[in-house]
Amino acid sequence: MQKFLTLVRRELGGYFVSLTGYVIIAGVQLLTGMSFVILLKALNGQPFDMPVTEKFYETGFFWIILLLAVPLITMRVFAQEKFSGTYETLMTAPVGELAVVLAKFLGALLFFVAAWLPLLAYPYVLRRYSLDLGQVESGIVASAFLGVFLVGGLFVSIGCFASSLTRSQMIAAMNAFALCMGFFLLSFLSTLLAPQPGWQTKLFAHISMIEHMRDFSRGIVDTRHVVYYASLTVFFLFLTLKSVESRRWK
Amino acid sequence: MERPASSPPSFSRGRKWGARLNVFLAVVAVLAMVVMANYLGARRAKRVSWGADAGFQLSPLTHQVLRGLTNQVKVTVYFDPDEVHYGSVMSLLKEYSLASPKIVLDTINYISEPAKAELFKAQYRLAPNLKDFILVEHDKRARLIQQSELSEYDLGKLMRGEGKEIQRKAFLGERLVTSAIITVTDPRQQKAYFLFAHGEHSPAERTQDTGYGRFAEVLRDNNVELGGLALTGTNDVPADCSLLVIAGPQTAFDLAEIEKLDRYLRQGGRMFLLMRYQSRAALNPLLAPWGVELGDNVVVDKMHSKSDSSVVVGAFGSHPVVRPLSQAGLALQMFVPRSVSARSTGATSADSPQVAELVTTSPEGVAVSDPVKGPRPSNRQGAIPLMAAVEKGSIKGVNLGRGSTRLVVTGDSLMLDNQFIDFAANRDFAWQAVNWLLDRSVLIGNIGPRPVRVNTFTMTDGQMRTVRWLLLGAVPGAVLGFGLLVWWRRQR
Repeated sequence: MQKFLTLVRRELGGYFVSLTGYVIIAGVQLLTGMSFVILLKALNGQPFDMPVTEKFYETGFFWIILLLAVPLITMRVFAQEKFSGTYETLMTAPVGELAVVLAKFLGALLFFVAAWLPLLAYPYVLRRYSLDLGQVESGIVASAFLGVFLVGGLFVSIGCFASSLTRSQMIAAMNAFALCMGFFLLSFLSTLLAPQPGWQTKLFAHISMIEHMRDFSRGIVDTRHVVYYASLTVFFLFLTLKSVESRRWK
Repeated sequence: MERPASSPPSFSRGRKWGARLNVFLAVVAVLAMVVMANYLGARRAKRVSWGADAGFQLSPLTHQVLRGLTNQVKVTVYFDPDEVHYGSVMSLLKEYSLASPKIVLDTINYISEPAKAELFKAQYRLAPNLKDFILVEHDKRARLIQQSELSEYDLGKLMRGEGKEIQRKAFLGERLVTSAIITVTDPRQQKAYFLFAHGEHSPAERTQDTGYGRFAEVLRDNNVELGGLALTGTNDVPADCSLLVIAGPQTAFDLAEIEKLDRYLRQGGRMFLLMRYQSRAALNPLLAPWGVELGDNVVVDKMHSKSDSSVVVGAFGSHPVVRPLSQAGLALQMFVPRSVSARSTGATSADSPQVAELVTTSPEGVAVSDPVKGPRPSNRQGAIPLMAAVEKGSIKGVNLGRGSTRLVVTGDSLMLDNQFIDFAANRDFAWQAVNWLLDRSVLIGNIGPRPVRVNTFTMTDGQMRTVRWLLLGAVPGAVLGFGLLVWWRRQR
């Protein structure tokens, strides 16, 4: 366990001692800030009848941030080690490959969470100016963050997998972006096609990230969504593990 | 360092392919487990709300109804997606379809799918100009919910001349959809008859204040067919009468009519009797054997009234008709009510009528026997009962025809007329009473309207500038500045 925590610390340190890590956080903050300001301008003085968290996650910025930030965070996890030649040293260290994969995943996920943390304060900025304080409920904010965490977990695992396939950070970022975008675009199947009787509607709704996020932003926690993200995250971590193990027999 | 071209591979080609096949099979196996986990997860799903406002959660009653479905119920949303109710309707119906696989959801956008829309209307013989509605269908029985029914509106500002805005106050979708599902899946066709010929409120009257058109809607929402009935001449209460409504009769009943009503009740009939102030109907001879006494008075409760004629009552009994109202802390608003008390019938046998007083005034109530002279010390004072429910169970081996007798008597009929039915919880009471009388125990619960929370926040230009500077400048700038500091220190 100690070795695992050391690896996680090393991974997190890698983000916080480089300028890139701060640029990513600043970029995320700028885009979320921009999204929030646009929302404030649109709602100022206008009555609205849905939780403000739902309004926020309906803005396109939210998904742009997720789709862009995660590949930038994860591109370095394996690709940089391979490029700089520290990969073999790491893999021959007395830690298992599973521990390495999980440590890198956890490090990237914690950094991702750290980049989103300031967003927690945003609803309370709105609360200061809202006539109805009930509009910003802690439970709804918590479930919205659970959604961000679950989507982030899946994207980070995809990013880890993409990074494990190549020694080029750029290619890793592009692969991760393409895969994440693929999952995101699947969401549009349920929004483009109106509900019809049959299994297709249920399947499209089940894989629709937009629908999931809508629920989370309303304060609804559905075990279906949790299972979906958790199982896919495990799947991509498994793929990453197999990719890392492949150096033995390639 | 490059590997010499002649060095032998560390793995034979066969072992390499073996390893690849192994990985491939492992990936397929894990993928199968992912699919399985999602399949099982979808079958045993739970949805919980972390927000205090459980506006997106279905009520326990709806869950109970959905669990009881044995066949598919098709719900078609025939809507323009730009309509104001579309989002709320789809969110609500999504909850229904997630809660039960028996709910089959279909949508028709009549703007982008005109051919499908026409076909649908032709299939259900719907009016050509009808649009923006929900159709709930099961086994060739259908119930239509129009967009206009889906919301309650606050006309207060408009009436007070404070603005031209009409605000949505509450969304009634769940109440209407659940009711529609119950009614289309209920194999029994219920019919309610409104007695007329004694100056009763008319169920056909939707615009006049004293009409009972809106109360009739409550019955229709419960898939109850309506009919009119006069007990004159040889007319008797029809055999298909599931519920007889006597809404505020004003003139006297003759003996033959009272005998017919008495016979109907003795045969296990169901009656909703709403009396009104200064009525000459004199129905005490009919009610006495059932343990109910109708006071010839006007009940006042000065401490609990909003006007000279109204009494707000919330002291409910524990009867199923009023229990949900009591649990929800609701109250009824009645207008110049008469007292309706339980009285001893003298019978003590097991099949004697069970009478329950449903609601009373506060202990400050007074039953004024002569409204012109006003309250007198001799008037009955204290908690005055204003409604009663009677049930007489069926006896083994004795055929009562219609089943057990049920009767609800109220000392006020105005409370359910078009003007006052939406005051306080009057409509909820009507819903409860009707479903108890029709023995629809599953519906004796309360799906209240979901309040539409309209929120506003106002920021001045200065506040907006501050927030903009904070979010677009200060926060990202501080992070970047700190990063530069770290970078600069590491460079040194």
